Formats: sequence, C-alpha cells, structure tokens
Amino acid sequence: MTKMLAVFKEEEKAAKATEELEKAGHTNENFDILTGSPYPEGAFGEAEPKHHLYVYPLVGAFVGFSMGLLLTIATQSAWPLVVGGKPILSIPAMMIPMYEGTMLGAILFTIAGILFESRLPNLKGGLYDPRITEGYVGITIEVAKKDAGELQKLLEKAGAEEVLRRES
Amino acid sequence: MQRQKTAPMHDHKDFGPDITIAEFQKKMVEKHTTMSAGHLKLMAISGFLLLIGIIAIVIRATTDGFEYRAPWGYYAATVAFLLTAAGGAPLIIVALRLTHAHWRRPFARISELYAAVGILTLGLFIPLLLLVPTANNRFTLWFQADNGGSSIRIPWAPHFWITLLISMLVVSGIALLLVSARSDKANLNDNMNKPRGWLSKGWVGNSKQWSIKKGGLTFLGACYFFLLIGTLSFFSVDFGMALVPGWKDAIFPAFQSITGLQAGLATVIVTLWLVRKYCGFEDYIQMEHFWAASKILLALSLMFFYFWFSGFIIFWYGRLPAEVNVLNLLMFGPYKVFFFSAFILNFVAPFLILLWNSARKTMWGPTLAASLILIGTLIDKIRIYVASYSVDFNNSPVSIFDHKLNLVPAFQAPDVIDVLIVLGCLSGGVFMLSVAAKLFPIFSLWEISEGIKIRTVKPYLRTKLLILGKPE
Amino acid sequence: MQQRVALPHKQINADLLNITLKAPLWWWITVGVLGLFVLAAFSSVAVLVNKGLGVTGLNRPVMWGLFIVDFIFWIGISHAGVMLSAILRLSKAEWRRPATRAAEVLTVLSLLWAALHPVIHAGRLWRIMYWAFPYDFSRGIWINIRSPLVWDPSAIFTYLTGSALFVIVALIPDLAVIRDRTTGIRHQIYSILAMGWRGTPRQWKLQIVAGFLLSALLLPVFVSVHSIVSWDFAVAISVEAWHVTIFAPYFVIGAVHSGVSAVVTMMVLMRWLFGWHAYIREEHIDALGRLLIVIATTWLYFFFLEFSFALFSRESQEIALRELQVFTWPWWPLFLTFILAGYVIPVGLWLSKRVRRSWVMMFWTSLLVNIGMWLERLIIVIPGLSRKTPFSFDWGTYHPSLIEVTIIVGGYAFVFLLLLLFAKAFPLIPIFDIKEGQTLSENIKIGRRTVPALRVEE
Repeated sequence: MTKMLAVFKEEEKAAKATEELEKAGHTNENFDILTGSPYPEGAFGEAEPKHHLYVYPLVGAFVGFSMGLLLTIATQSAWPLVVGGKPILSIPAMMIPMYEGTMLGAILFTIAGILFESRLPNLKGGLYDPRITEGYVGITIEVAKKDAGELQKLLEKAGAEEVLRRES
Repeated sequence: MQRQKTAPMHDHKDFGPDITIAEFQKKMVEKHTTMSAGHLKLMAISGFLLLIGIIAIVIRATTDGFEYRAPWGYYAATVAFLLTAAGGAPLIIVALRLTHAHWRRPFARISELYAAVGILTLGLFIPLLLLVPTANNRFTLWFQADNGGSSIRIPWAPHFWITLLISMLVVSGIALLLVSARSDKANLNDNMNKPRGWLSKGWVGNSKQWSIKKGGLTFLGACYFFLLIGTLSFFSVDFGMALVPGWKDAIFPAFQSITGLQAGLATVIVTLWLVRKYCGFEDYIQMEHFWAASKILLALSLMFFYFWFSGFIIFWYGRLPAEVNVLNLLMFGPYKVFFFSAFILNFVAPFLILLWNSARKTMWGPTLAASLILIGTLIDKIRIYVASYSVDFNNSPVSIFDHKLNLVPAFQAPDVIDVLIVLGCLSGGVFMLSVAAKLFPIFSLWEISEGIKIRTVKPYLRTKLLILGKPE
Repeated sequence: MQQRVALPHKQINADLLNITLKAPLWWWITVGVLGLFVLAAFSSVAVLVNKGLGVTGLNRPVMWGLFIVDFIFWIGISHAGVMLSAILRLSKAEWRRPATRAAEVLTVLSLLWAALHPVIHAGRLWRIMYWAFPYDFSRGIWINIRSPLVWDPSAIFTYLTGSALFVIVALIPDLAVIRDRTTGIRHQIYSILAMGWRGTPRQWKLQIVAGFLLSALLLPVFVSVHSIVSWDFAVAISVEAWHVTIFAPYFVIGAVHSGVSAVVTMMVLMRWLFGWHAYIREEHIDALGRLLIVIATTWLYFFFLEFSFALFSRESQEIALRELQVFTWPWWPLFLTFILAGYVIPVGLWLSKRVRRSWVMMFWTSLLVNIGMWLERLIIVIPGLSRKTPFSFDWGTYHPSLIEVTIIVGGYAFVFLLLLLFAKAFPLIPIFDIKEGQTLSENIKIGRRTVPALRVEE
C-alpha cells in the first residue's frame, strides 16, 4: 500500500480535488483532510466525525458525585463530633464538597474523553507537512501500490503543490 | 466501499423558509385585519373572569376590610406574580436587543405587548397600599431609623415611592411598545388603505426617524430595566419581607429580580408557542428560536437555585432563633409543600429537561420547561406572600415592630374568594394581552424585515452556509 | 464598527509567536527584575515560617489580615478568565478570539497564587494538610466537612484543575504550530507536547465541542468558588457585616468586575509589549468596556443591597460598624477611594465611546477598578474584625508588617513573571482561533453599504 499526502496552497483547489477523488471512485472514507485551522463542517466533503464526547462528563459526574457522597458521609461518621449544633450528616453542608466532586469528575472525564476521541496522543505519526499550519490544506489517502502513480497525477492535476508518498 | 455520510450539507431549508419581506408583510396584514373567532372568544372569557375576580376583590374588602393582612395573602401573591411574570416579559426583548441577538425578532412584539398587562397590575396594586403601615420605626430599606445612628428619614415611605416606581415602570413599558410599534402601525394602515391614526401620523421612515426610534428604544429599554429591578426589589421587601419581623435577607430582592427574568422569559416562550400553534405562524417561528431561548432559560433556572441556596445556607448555618423561624415559616413549616413544589418546578424539572440538547432543540422542550416555571413561580409567590401576610391577624402575638418572629403562624388555606381572585386576576392579564394584540400587530414587522435583509445563504467550498450580517 | 484585517496564516504564526520564538531584550530584563521581587517575597515567607506569625501585624482581634484580603482579591482576578472565555464561547461572540487564552492563563496563574495565601497565612504551611485534606494520619480524626474552611480548598482545587486542563487542551493545536516552526531540542519538546496533532476534521470538531463542553462545566464551578470564599465570612454570626445572605453573588460579581478589568489591562499591555495591533483592536476593548458597564452596574446593585440591609434592621452595632467604615479615619478616605475608583470614575468614563476605544484610558480605568476592588476587600475584612467583640476595651486595629507587604507586593511580581514565562513558551493569543475567525468572516451588501457578516453553521 502507498500512503500519500497532497498539499494544496488554496483551499478551493483542495475542495475541488476531493470532488475529483470521489469522481475517480474514492470515497470520503478513504481520504482525510489536514488543515491548520477549523473549517465549517462539510467544506471538503469529508466524512462526518462521529464521537461520544457527551457521554464522558455524565459518567464523570456520576463517579465524582459518588466519591463526594462517600467522602462526606465516611469522614463525618468516622469522627462524629457535633459542631455548631448541626447534625452529623448535614445535607446542606455536604452538598458543597459533593458538588465540587461532581464537577471535578465531570471535567476530568471530559478531558480524558477529548484526548481519547481525538485519538491523541498519536504515536504513529503518519504523513505530515509543516506547511499545513501555514494555511495549506492536506489530503491524505492510501491506495494500492499499482494505483499510486495514477492517483498522484490526479492530485497534481487538481492543483496539489506537492504530493508526498510513503510505501508500506 | 460505501461512501460515508458527509458532514451535514446544509441546504436552504435548514435555515428556515425563503420568505421575502413583501410576503411576510402581506401575511401579517391579512392576519391582523381579520379577527379570528378564537381571539374574540379568548377576550370574552378572560374579560368575564376578570369581572368575577374584581367582584371577589370587592367582597373580600367588604367582608374582611383592610385591618389585618392575613386574608389578603393570595391577593398579594397574585399581584406579585403579575409583576414578576408579565412585568418581566418586556425585559426579555430589551436584553436581547442590547446583545444584538439575531433570533430575538419573533419574540420582540410578543414581549412588548405584555407592557399592557402593567396597567392592570398597577390597578391591582393600589389596594395593597392600605395593608402596609408606614416604614417608620420598623425594619425597612427606607432609612427611617429614629434611634441608633442615622437621622435621615425619607418621607412618605414606602407607599408613595413604590407607587411612583410601579407607575413609571408601566409608563415606560407602554412607551416602549408605542415607540416600537409606530412604524408597524403606519405600515398596517397604509396596507389596509386606512387613514393613519395618532400614533403613526407623520411616520415616513426617513433615516432620522429610524435613528430616533432606535435610540428611543435603547433609552426606554434601559429605563424599563432599572425600573423593573427596582420595583421587584422594593416590592418584595416592602410588601413581603418587611412584614415578617426578623426576616433580614439581603439576597431576597435580587432573588426576586432573578425570578422576574426567569418568569418573564418563560411567559414569552409559552406565548410564542401558543401564537405559533393557534395563529398560523408556523413558517415564521421555528425551532431555532426556542432553542436559542432555551439556553438562557436553563441558565436562569440554575440561577434560581444559586440565589435560593446562597440565602438559605447563611440562615441554615447561622441558626439564630430569628433565622430558624423564618426558614420554618417560608420553607420547612406550614408551606413546605408549596416550597418544594416551587423548587421542583422552577429548578429541578426545567434543569432536567433543558440539560439535554435533544430536548432543548425542539419546540416542546423549552415550552414545557417554561410552562412548569410559570406554575412554579405562582406557587413560589403564594408561599412567600401568603406566609408573610399570615403573620398579621386578629390577636396575633407577633407585631411588625418586633425584632424577631416569635411564632410561626398556621397554614392559611385559600377560600373560594381567594380562588376567584387568583383566577380573575390571571385572566385579567390574558385579557389585557389579547386587547393589546388587537391594537398592535403581534410581530414586529420592522424587526423581522430587518432580519430578512441581513441574512442570506451562500455556497462555501463544498457546503452552503448561512451568512448573518452584523451591521452594529 | 469593526476593523477586520485579513492576514495570511504564515503572518499570523509569525506575529503571534514573536515572543515565543525569539524573546527580545526587554523580556529578559523584566523577568530578571520581577525575579528579584519574587525572591524577596519568598525570603519573607521563609522568615515567617522560621519566626512564626509574630512577624506579621496580626493580633487580637484582627487575626485575618492582608493575606486574606489579597486572597479574595486574587481569587477575584481568577474569575475573569473562565467567565469571559466561557460566556463568550457559549454565546459565540466573535470578539472573544484574542481574549480567551490570555484570560484563561490569568485565571490559572492568579488562582495558583491565591491558593498559596491561606497556606502562608496558616504560618505552619505543612499543617494545611491536616485541616483541608481528607487524610486522617492514623489518628482517627477527620476533617470537618461542615466547615467552609474545608469547602474552600475543594472548590479551589476543582477550579484550578479544571481551568488548567482547559488551557492545556486548547493549547494542543497551537503547540503543533510551534512544533512546525522549531528545530532541534525545542522541536522535540513541542512534538511531545503536541501529542502528534495533525489537524484532521475529527480533531478540530472535538476541539470545538470540547471548548463548549468545558466552558459549560467550568462556569458553574467558577460561580461556586467565590461563593464559597464569601461563605468563609458569611456563615459566621460573630462578626457584624459578615453574616449577610447576599455575600455569595456580591463576591462573585465583584470578582468578575475586577477580573474582567484585569483582562482589559492585560490586553492593552499585550498589544503594547508584543505589538499585536492587528489582533487586539479597538472593537475588542470597546466590547469589553460595554460588558464592564453592565457588570459594574450589577455589582453596584448588589453593593447597594449589601449595604442598605445593614441598616435594614436598625441594630445599633451594625450601624456603628458602617459608620466606622464610611465616616471614621482612616477608613473614610479608603471607602471614598473604593467607591470612586471601583465604580464612579471608570463607569462614568466608559459611557463615552471615545474612552472605550482609547488604549491609554482603558488601561488606567481598568487599573483603577482593581485598586478600588482591592480596597473593597480590605474594608470588608478588617473593620468587621476590629470591632468583633462587644466590649470596647477588646477592640483593636491592624497594621500590616513589612514582611506581609513584601509578600503581597512580591505576589504581583510572581503572577506577572509567570505570565511572561508562559508567553515565552506558548502563544498568549490562540492562533487557531484567530485563523478560524478569518475563515468565518464574510461581507454582505445591503443597498450601498457593505456590512461585515459571519458564516454560521446552524
């Protein structure tokens, strides 16, 4: 298989190139887009990224709440000293550490979720060009070795500044 | 290999129907000129119920008089509710105009029309003046201290000042409505081939008139904002908190102002839904409007909890005898069912509904939450005002001049008269609104037309995007 | 009126990384000078630890002094960042773009310094462990969850963790930009930090969703932090003027007032120091100025409630305390300064559009707000304590010692130093956010006028 990265200076040409790719029978499952800043969804006809990020804070909040509940109940029952005439298990006072626990859990799980769902850290690397962060648009695609030459021509014709290749 | 679903390719339809200004105006004129049977029926029924309510108020006044406050609790609660929900409604458009929110446009007139309810509220407020003693020598915000320090004394407090505040609020609300509706009235009259009325006479729509109109709306909006916060704050203190000895709660006026914003937005959302459903404006009121409003409603519901908890934790922690009794009176004693109902309806339920984007991003979700909030607000006002007024009855051991509440009075159950008063006054609000909707178009023609002008859809690379102009 | 400029991405990178890639001489000199102040502060802390709290001016009945005043102040400053970036992100305000990162970083750094105040105030720093953390040291004695002094660390810990992670997550795409512009060991370090970021649609989408999600999660935390700080005071019944129900929102809105002002100060400084004229524009401080008018006026409403409810119940002790704060030397000039600097002068000036669009005026007025707000905290903490006891022979007052003042002053240098160090390592304006703003900007024609417009996805 051959991995390719076509670098486009103009975003219009890159968008056009993705159309050409689709005409040539490559689906948007095959290719991926690399950009230096976010673009509106669908600008390059890319596949819609599916994620489950919204689940993470809920799970985190539940875990955090449970920890908070456990902590407040356990510490108060382990040293049951009445202070200021308040009950040992004072719900209004317990609510505050419990609330902070809930939020902390939600935040920590969300952060973990962001990294996991973005597939970071990405140790494998992959084809990349520093010009991407200068406003160039990259299209990565993987094809069988025998089709590589033809595809390279297609991308160059569509306006790619350069096509990087890596055989595997 | 199968082609994966692309990221949503926006077609024109996602951004609402393609309407021109002319089409919209034509439809609006058509709707406004023909009075539907439903509208007539609504006016008749609500007007009748208002009449019954007024009769009930007269009966209350003649049988119980104004000597003690206890029989008037439900009445005061209703006035507070109208002041909060209907008074808060015009504030919504003031705030949205200030932030240049694009989605405000269908909300605008509905929100302004509620200023008409203010006239009724002002009328209903007058009898309450007879129930409250002067601020002299008791807990008050009006600097009446004649011992221990300040010798400043504000005269005629609180009666004159609070009446002045509410009157100015009503006047500024009506002015806001008139200034906003002036160009629309001119537009309607011209389209109906009718002569211009007093309001729209002289309106030609030159740039000077527009700039005066916009400046006027900003100024009147600011006035309305400050007057409403002032009214809600002072009303809740002078006609609620200060009537309960020992209840010293600095957050309470701010809490009541927040419920004004929350209930005001809820009122507007529910009205918008009803207008869409029963007046045939499905094309112009869309999910995006409810969706945008729902986020603010969610934030306000969280604020309800925050303001309540911030006050509660201080009393709960402090545990001074006065604080314990006040908590019992208002929350955990005779009115606990009311308190917990209001807590659930104003915070828990809207929070649980609006937490989910799938519920927020519908028309029913925000409307359901808003309806619950309105019911909750009424219950909340009942628990606050009925409880505060129940302190003062024949042979009550508690005096308004005491430093703390020595006794928590028993639950004040509503009688038939109370039910009729509440029902009649609330219907009165609906009556005022339906009369106002007859006089003025229910949509702000100029604002919606402006909205159509500054939005367009253009292709962008391989997708289509909505383009929103930001002229300000 | 907006003054948008379209810039090529290459230039955006170069402009916003000018300090990061090559620090100018003034940077090294400033870092050195600030370092000396920080050294002085840390030496003072060392003296305090060695000699005990006797080296401070704390004495009966005023046992909470400058450390606590400054603690509230810095917690307040830390409220700017997340509130600003979260609210502006959630409301999709375009003018947030150059302000978010700086505001968030200010949050983290000031919170870091704020959190050290109670630790230093404890005198024996290590003992904080026993009081704040749920760890029983095999003694069977646990912390008192019912005490606000335990709520406080839990809130600060959550906020610090959350806001630091918020900054880090939003930094990843910018780290990739630096990675692509450096060589050698720096390249390797930034490669590790960027975690292999490539900029796929999936990564960008998650980055944006994360911004919204974390904003929504951090907003309620930020509100809770200063509320809990206020409850350190308000739940106590022993000190006049503290046991007030409005304290939580009053503290929060005051914090936002001073914090957003600090962001304005910082943005003006960033523009001057780093030459980011194309990025931080008049429309941005104008918008911040308008926002500040609303915030400040809300604050004034809460201040009115707080103050007038002290007079509400006509208790002679409370009224006497207010007289001390407002009419008695040395408090009356401080009170007057607080009102004038915290509200009257800045808000009065901000009403003028010319002031809101003037860099010099915005710099000084925003600084003025923070002088006022610092005094506000002083006036809340000290007078109440000095009249805490019912008998006048037990009344006292408080004079801060040189050690305390050194630590407090060094703290400002500490936060500023950390900010400069951050700017050396990372961009203070989110590069990708600025680029996205350019992608989304459009123009539409209405009649003869070209109106700036925005591409919107939904």
